Amino acid sequence: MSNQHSIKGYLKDRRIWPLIVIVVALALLDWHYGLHFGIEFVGGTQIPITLEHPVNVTAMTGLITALQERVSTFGLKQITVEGVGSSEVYLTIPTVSPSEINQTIDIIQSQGKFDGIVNGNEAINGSDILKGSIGQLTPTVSNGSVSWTVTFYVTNAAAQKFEKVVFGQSNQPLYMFLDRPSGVVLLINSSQISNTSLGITQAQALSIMQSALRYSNQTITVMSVSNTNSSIAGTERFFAANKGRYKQVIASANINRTLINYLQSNNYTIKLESRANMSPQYTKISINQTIVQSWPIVGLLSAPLLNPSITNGSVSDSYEISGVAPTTLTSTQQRLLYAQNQTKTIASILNGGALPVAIIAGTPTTIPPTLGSYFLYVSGIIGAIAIGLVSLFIVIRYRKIFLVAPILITTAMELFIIVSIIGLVGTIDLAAVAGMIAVVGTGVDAQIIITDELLSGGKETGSSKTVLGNAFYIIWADAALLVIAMLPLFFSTSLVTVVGFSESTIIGAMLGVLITRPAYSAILSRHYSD
Amino acid sequence: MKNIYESKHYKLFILIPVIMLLISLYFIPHIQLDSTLKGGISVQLVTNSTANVRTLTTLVDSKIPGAQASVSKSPGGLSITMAENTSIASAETDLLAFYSAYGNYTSATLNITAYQNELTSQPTNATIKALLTSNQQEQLKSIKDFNASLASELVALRPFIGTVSYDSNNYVNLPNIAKNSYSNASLVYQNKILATLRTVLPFSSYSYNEVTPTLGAFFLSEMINIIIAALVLVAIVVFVIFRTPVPAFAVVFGAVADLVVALGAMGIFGIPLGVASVGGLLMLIGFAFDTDILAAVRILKRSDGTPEQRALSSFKTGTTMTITALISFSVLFAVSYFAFIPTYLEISGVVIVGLVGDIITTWLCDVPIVLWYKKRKEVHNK
Repeated sequence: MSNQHSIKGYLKDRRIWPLIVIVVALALLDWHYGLHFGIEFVGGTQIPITLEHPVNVTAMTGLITALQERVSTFGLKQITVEGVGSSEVYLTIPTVSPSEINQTIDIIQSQGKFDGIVNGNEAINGSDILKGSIGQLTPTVSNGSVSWTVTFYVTNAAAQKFEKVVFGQSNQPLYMFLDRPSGVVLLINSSQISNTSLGITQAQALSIMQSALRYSNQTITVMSVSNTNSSIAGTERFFAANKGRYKQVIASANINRTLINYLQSNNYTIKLESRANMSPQYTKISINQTIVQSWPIVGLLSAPLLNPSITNGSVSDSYEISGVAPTTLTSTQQRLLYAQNQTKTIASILNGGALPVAIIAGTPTTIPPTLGSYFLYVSGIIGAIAIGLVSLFIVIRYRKIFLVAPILITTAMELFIIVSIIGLVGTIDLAAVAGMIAVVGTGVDAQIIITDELLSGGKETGSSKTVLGNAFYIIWADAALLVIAMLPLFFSTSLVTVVGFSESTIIGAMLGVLITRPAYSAILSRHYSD
Repeated sequence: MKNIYESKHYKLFILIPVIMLLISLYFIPHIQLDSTLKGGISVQLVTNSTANVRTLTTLVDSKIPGAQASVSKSPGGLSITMAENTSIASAETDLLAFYSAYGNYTSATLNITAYQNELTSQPTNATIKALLTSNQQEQLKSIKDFNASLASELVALRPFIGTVSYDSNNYVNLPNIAKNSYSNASLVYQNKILATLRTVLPFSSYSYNEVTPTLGAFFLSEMINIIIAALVLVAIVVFVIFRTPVPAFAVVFGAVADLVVALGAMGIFGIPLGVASVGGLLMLIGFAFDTDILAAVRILKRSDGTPEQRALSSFKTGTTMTITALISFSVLFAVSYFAFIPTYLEISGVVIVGLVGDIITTWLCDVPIVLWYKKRKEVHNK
């Protein structure tokens, strides 16, 4: 009997030790990963975004991914995008600076301009394509070869123009640009131009690039520069002769310093880029022809070849862009993935990089960090007062001081576990904290049932085991009903600001039944078994 | 303590909750929706201004026409909620109408192209011709519709951004004009409100939150769906637990009654209903069953003492449970009332009034029903 009462005895009880193990494990995880708090507690901004029309779940997922990609390509970090119902999205950023908020809104609302250029002439542009007509077909597989197709309609006038531009250009590339820059000169260090793997010489590479960048009077000029004085002087002469024609220079990062100084003194905007960015991706389309397939730095994103059937003078207002996944990809799985990505990319270029549905940014909600830390402080006080008063009430009601310790300990551990789980996996927001305060109330409810059964019922029915069985039946039913009542909110995709409340209460109810209440009853029954 | 359940007239107890229910039903339509459900603006200011709440309310109302401001004060600052500006709200409706008409226009245009295409290969097909004509009519109608919506939107927004000039024949550009005008106007209005508040009192930092009426209405309907879903799910489980209709019905009725009483009390005491209240209402559904099940299980399934004694013992345990819950939610309510945290207020306000109602419905309505059922069964068994 006496060793049952020792601390060792408590720790060995299999109703108590799992609780201790879980608390220690979570404490380590919290310490290592840190807890994630919502903007209500750390400050930040939430931007509500309304969609032009309601979308289904698949489209919503696509939109969220697209928004995430867009903000991440622009280097905006720690932005969360969250769907609310079928026609609203919340964007949350951990900043309250008005300029950063406006920048974020601009980025998500921006729309690119599409240009399709054949042989230096504009064959098609973004406004030629009928809005909403771009269709992405599912990739088809036959004998292990995977082909992809994107279809679209153009206006009548555009169809006429297209026919004239592509006439006789069979199997030639349609250079697809998104936000093609104008007034730009590319200065590439001569040592970075040739491509040995494709066997292209410097002169050939330069001419391949030039034909991809040719476009009536908006040609992007490409020049090769070496570090010799004559090459630098020649380049300077070119700029002197073309004064006012160009605004921006994109140059290899290792280009000669003198040249950069010269350009700066002449008010050109200069962007220095790495070798990888300054080198286009080539494709060999026939034995003696190689073209630029893509070159993101100038907005060239793809270059499909024109099918002979549309270059013979026939006019059509429906088009398709299709291709076959490269055979260098070994498995069908990889080819399918490639084909899917390719379909998505082409459709998105034709759309001007547009989101699948038009969006309207609403008024941002900002919470200053000072207000956030104030909320956190107040919440802490609420929790402490609630636990204190509830324990006090229990002591007065049962007139047993002994009860304070187990109730305080189990409740505090339970709150710690809930805070840790939500803070590690999700976000601790105001609703989640309100749920935790609720758990202080509900948690004690179950402990009251146990206490009542043990203190009064025990005398009549004898063994404390049957008494606890009775109590647990009621507690199980209570917990199950609370969890079920909270499930619709837990799975709600629209009331996202309140979902935290259901998370806290559900975790609390389950913890109670599985871990903390058995531990509490173990402490009590050990105490009273003397 | 005298056992009230041993009274001969215990069945008459039911009258009290029934009267309470009727009063509550009457007051439910008087519930005030807050800005998250009705649409509107709430601004929280961090300030140490000592200005009087009533003076502030009058000041804000006089400087921002139609604001219907309500101001609450806490040691940490001030919270001001006001109605959405009616011009901006109607511009939002126009904007959505514009988008819907523009969508019709796009699909009609697409169809026209497709049918014209088909007609080149089969020029005499009457069905296609008819379809083409109807789509052309649809196209014309939607052009008229979206132009009208845009015009009306821009008229509504004129006080904020002045006259917007645009080419109404450049259809491609119209969505941007509609969208940007609305965003710009909202921003102008926000700045105007903040500037106005600054003239009334100094503040160091602020939090501004706007919910459009459309979104508010959507949240309200979602909230109702969630509560109905929760009630249905819970009722199914209760019937499974009891497998006998009378006690199960009593328990489910108790939960519904709690919700009705909670909502009625919110109407009476002017506790606003917001998005966060849904948490409180669901909590109440879960809570309502706690004490009900405790009492039903003790009265029906145990055999020590008389059913009346067991009813009284469960009353003691049950009220202790409800009181602890009341304590923790009252702390949440009281502290957040002084610190002004609306989310906490909305959740705890609902639960507190609901729990008080729960004590009455459970012990004066459900338990007498269950007790009566138990006694009748005992008579039958003899």
